[in-house]
Amino acid sequence: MLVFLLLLTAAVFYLFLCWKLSDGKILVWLRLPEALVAFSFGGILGVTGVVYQGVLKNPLASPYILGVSAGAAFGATVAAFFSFPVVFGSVLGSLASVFLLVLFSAVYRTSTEILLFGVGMNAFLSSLILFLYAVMPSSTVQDALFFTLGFISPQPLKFSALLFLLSLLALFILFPFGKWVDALSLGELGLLSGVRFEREGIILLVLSALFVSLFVGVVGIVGFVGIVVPHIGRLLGFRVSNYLMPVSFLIGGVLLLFSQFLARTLVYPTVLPVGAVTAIVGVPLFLYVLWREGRA
Amino acid sequence: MLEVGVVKAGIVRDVEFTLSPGTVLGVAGKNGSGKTTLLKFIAGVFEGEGQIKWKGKDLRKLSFKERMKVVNAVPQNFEPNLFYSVYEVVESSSPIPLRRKEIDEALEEIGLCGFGRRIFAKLSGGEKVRVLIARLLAINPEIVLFDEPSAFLDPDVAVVVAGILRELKNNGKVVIVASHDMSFLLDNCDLFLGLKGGREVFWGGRGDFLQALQLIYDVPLKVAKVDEEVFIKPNYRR
Amino acid sequence: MRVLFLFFFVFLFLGNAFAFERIISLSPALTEMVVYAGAESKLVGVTDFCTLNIKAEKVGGIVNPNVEKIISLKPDLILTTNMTPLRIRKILSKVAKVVVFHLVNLKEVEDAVEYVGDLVGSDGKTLRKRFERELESSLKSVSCLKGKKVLVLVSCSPIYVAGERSYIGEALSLGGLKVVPESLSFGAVSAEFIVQNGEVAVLSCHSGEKSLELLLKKFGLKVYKVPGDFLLHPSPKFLEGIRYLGEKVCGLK
Repeated sequence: MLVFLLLLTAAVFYLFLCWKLSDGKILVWLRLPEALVAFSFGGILGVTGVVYQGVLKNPLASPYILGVSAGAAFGATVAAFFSFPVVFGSVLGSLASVFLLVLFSAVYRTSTEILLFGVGMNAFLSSLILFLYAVMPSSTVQDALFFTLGFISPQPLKFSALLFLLSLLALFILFPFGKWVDALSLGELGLLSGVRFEREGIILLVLSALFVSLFVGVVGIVGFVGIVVPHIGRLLGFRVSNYLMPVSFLIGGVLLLFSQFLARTLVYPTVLPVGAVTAIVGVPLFLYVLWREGRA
Repeated sequence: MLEVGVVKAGIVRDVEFTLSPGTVLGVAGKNGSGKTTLLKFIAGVFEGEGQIKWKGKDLRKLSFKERMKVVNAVPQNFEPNLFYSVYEVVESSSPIPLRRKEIDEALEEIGLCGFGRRIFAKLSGGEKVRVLIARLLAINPEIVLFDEPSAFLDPDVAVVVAGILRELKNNGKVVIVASHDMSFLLDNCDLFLGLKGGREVFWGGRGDFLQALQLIYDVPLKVAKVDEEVFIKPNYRR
Repeated sequence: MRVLFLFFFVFLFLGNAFAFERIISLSPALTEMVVYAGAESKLVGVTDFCTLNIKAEKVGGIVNPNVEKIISLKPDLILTTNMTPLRIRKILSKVAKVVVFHLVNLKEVEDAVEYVGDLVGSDGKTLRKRFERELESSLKSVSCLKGKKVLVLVSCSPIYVAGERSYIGEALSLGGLKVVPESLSFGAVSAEFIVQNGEVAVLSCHSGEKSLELLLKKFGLKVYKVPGDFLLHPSPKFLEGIRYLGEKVCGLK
């Protein structure tokens, strides 16, 4: 099964890089960076999806549920408003939301409370964003709007390689804590193994959120990947985090890579926002996964 | 020696006792009288004021994980929302690394041979509880806590559990069982603690416990002795 | 002599019969057209985003104008684009004449210049001719780009271009430039398309130009930067942008 996934990854990479390729330069300076960014972001979303679903004991959780994406979008919108680079604002915004998460974890000490806190944060920030949209000059709305939909823009090769390494780093850092994730997902029973939500759980959530926020800053908000991918992994038979995390990394990377391929190719020369494609691809996929899980 | 002194933990107030290794303590009381809270406090899962000393050392000074290696429990119920296998549930919820072989042995002891790969969420209530007991056996802590162990069990399994309690006692463990199955407690425990409204209303051996039962449960009981066996039940017909 | 005077008077009166005196513009481009027609003094309300220095009241945004304020200014003509929601236009039409403009291609812009001219009491046809002359002369400044494949980016991240069917594209095409992509007015385009089909790139972005510039140069495109505000005006103002571009690229004014 793992072999199959690796082959699939290689196949999608090949497709992405070589489809209708006219020039070697395009391959290196355009397609390769794009592939690296897409794959790493998808991978990160997959891994953190596993962490979030386990720690919060919620199969519908995603890395965005605690407000990271809303913080990033808010930061992006504010930056666009003041004509600062959007990336700057979104990274700051999402880091700020992570900071708030840490702060409030002292008050909201169970997974349910933190979840509700996240929902509240998302709602609050979303309305602030809408407020800014109403006040902003229309030309800058474009930047911020595409950000909210998730969009992979051309990046320098060095930067994309850095992002790729960052995502691998995230995987390597989070991977040893798979046992914590599993214990936390078992609730009361997991507590009897010595793992507490208020400590180990929050550490995992914050660590994951930090990595996600860096990527959200660059690409914007790409939904669904974080939610669906762990379920696909489980459907393929990988339940325990030590297996599920790397598998989700692969699946997430492949999914986003393929989505970006579609985003770039479907309506050539127009480029669709990749977040829109993942939603269109993700929803039926999610429904299918749910159906199969129900029958299993 | 286990020395427990609870000043205040939830509803529980001023409960103190000492237990030697190789003792089975039965904690009796109505629902809401603080049985589970007391157990949780001893385990370290519930916050409160008081002291827990094991072999002279204060358990509360240990790291949370270390404490779980010394004292662990079989919780009352557990409903996971993910489809882990039995192996995975036991491995993930253990404070010490466990090998599959150890888990298999524990499962065998409790009568669940070969259940390792079965999906936990799909087991019956009784089978689930037995897995949790097997987990406890595999972890092998010094202090063992049972919260309503006989609740979902068929009579034949209840016998197996009773056998396990006896074995734990023989191995020098301190066992504390909370239950409102009076007969089960009577037959399987050496010492008894009665709780009412969070306060200690009884401490002592079997004989005195029988008398105190009516006080603990506020209901007239019928007691019968047949061939050295004691049968108790509430007086259903007034 | 008196007859002549009377004639003149009547003529003036007739000429102004359909002119409006209290005008509100709900689009910066339309504001610019009113100013172009010399009727700046007739403007009583403009949006918050109108960049020109006008002594009119600010009446809110383009998409969300303050209807109460508009009504309180007692306009007789309200100029809008299709960006202002229909329901707001409907409400306002009960108060004054509402004219809606769609400003995407060059013909629409020129038609608007003429129509706005007529509405404010100037001679629309003359204004249109003047605009066309000025366009022609501004296009001379970019003559060194004739025949080259040009891409005009109005946003760098995401990459958003003004294609051949936009007013910018059509204008530049008139000047002999080959604007790419051909069948698009405004839209997002992939970087791959740009490097495969373009020779010259004009970046008119708010942010993100640096890295894009480096990237495009790697593929041998010539890159020129124009301030973010200069080209995105579907009104006579964008001619300034063309002249600015011409000066930068061809060294001509």
